[in-house]
Amino acid sequence: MLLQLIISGILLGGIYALLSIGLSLQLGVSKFINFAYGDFVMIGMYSTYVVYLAFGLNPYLAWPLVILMGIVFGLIMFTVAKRAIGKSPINQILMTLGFAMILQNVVLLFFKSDFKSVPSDFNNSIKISEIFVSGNQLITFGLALVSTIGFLVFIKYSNTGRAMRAVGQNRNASKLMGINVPRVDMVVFILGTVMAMCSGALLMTMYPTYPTVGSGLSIIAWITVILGGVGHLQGALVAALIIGVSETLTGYYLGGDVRQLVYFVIFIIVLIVSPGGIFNKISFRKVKRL
Amino acid sequence: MKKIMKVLSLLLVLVMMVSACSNGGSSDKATDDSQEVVKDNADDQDAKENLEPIKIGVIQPRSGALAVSGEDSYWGSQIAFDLINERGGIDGRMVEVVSADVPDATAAQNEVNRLIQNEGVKVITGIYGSSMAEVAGNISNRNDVLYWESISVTDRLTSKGYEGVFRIHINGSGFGQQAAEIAAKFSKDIGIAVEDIKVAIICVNNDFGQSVATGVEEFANESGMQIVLNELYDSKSTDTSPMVLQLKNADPDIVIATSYINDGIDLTKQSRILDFNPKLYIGIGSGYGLPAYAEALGDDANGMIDIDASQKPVYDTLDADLAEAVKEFEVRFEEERGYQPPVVGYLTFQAAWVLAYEVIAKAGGTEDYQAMIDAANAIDMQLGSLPTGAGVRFDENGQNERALLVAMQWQEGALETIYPESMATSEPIMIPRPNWSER
Repeated sequence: MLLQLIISGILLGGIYALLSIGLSLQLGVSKFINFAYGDFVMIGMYSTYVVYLAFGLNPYLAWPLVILMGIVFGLIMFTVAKRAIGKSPINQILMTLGFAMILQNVVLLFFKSDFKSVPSDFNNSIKISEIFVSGNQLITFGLALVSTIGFLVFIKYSNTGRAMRAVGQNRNASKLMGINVPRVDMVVFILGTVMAMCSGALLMTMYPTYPTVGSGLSIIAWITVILGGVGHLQGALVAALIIGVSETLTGYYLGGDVRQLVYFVIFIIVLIVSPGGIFNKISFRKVKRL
Repeated sequence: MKKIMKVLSLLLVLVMMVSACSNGGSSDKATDDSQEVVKDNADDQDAKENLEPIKIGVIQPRSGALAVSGEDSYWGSQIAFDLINERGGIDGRMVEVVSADVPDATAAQNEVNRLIQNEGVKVITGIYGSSMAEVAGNISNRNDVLYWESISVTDRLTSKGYEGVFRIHINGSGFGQQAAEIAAKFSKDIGIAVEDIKVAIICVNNDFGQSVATGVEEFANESGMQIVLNELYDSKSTDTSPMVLQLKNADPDIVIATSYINDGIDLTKQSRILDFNPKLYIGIGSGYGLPAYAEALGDDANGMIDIDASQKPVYDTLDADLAEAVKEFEVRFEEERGYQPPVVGYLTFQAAWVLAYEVIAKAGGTEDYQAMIDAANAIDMQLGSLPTGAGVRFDENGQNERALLVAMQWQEGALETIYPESMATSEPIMIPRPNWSER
């Protein structure tokens, strides 16, 4: 039983990790506080649903279209968001809260508040020795790993990646060094949005969507990112696994109604001990960048 | 510049004041054009009483997250009152529906007060939403206004001893009890004696879930069923696998689960993934009855039992006039909403009908609070008198003892009624449930 719980927890953590990559990017590089992140994921879920209605494609095949839609959507959002990037955090918070309300209500207007879902072919039960997992969970976990590793490679070795790291470390110095900071902001924002929408597409294989699903997802994404250390991609992955496993363990041993309580408690304890997140020793000054 | 700013600020403040004063939702008048809207009943009461319209407040969440069901519920009442007016009203007096949009408990506070103080309504009926129902019940009771509940099931509404609060639908613990009874009946069909039944109860952690759990527990204890698990869980959980693992560990014959749609779907999915195979799986709550459930699960939804009020009226047991009205209601509802009435539509329709003819008519209007209470307490309608198969007989707390639930089951993407036999549209399938691997 314990092993099953841990495995289920790790797979759940994979979902959370995928969810938080985009936010980690936007927060780590552009320092953009995005409280509408969960709603971007929601838009991704609805985009997948629309693609399914229009072409009958299941989410795994609809990926390329969702990425395209993500780029378009990210560009649109960026034209407004760019006015707040680099400026006061309060502006960013207010603006993104506004985004959240607008997105939720626009979706409510067009799709009503019914739950929409997309059938998935991989919702089977795979038995590996004594452990049960589902195809969807494995695929999502695999994709989470692949994307995280992919991003890390991209950031370490490509020019754009290096520019992103530079902007993340010191925005003004980057400008002085000739890096096109607004362009980096745009790339990061759109990349973050596309990641959010893709994680939405994957979530559609497992859960139905509705206009206000974003708020719960936002909270999970934020906790994962902060727990792992802002801007620290590997940290977010580890934090997601911790949250996933703690949820399943407490859900089973302590009862279904306190499962979310426990990871909030872990969150608070970690912040008290190490404010920069798990992957930063007690350091109040610099938070490790990407 | 300073002067312009001062003027602008003053304008802004005035605009805010005006909008604050007019805030408070819309007020729809009944669709019958020939009514007179009279504001001041008190002065001309004696002389004009025979012609005065009867104001009835209808509160529903017509905006916000509950809006879809809220609108369905609203139209159940509105169409009922329209039909009543076309049949001559209540003793010749037309019904004037005064509606208010109540999406949450705060709005309930404001709107119910507004209906009572400003609009002068003496009867209010509602509402799809237990937290709002409780607030409405409290305020109505304080102001000697009759509160007539059609849908919400929170136990708390009818447990405070409020004389003027009546609920025609079942309450949470009643839900649990009937569900457990139905479960026992099906178990007998597969050869398990009641005292050998192992039942697992798993419910959402809110008033509804807790009330249902209490009801199931009571029945289980009285009938000798063993409760092997009794857990509440957070309905917002993304992943219900720990709950299903707990269920698997407890190894029950029957599971009685109260869920909302997201967790209901996830519990079923996880049951499949983790290979959890109880002999009977009984669902309560919107989690198991909405079309979204079958859409999300496809064939995996087959065999799931959902207990709720019936949405397929059996016309033969109804009074002829009511049967005709129900058929007309179904036509108009579909014109208005684009689909056939869901359960909440029938619930509000029948509640409005009983309110008009059995309470207001018998009390001679809405002016006499005590007369309405006495009329309500005197109602004695047998089972089968209403479209959902219910009867009406209120206990000392205003709770209807003859509310009826039926067992429905998902069969090939359609929700068929399987119990009681008199209302069944299909034979039950998959009792006991086949193992997932054998499906």
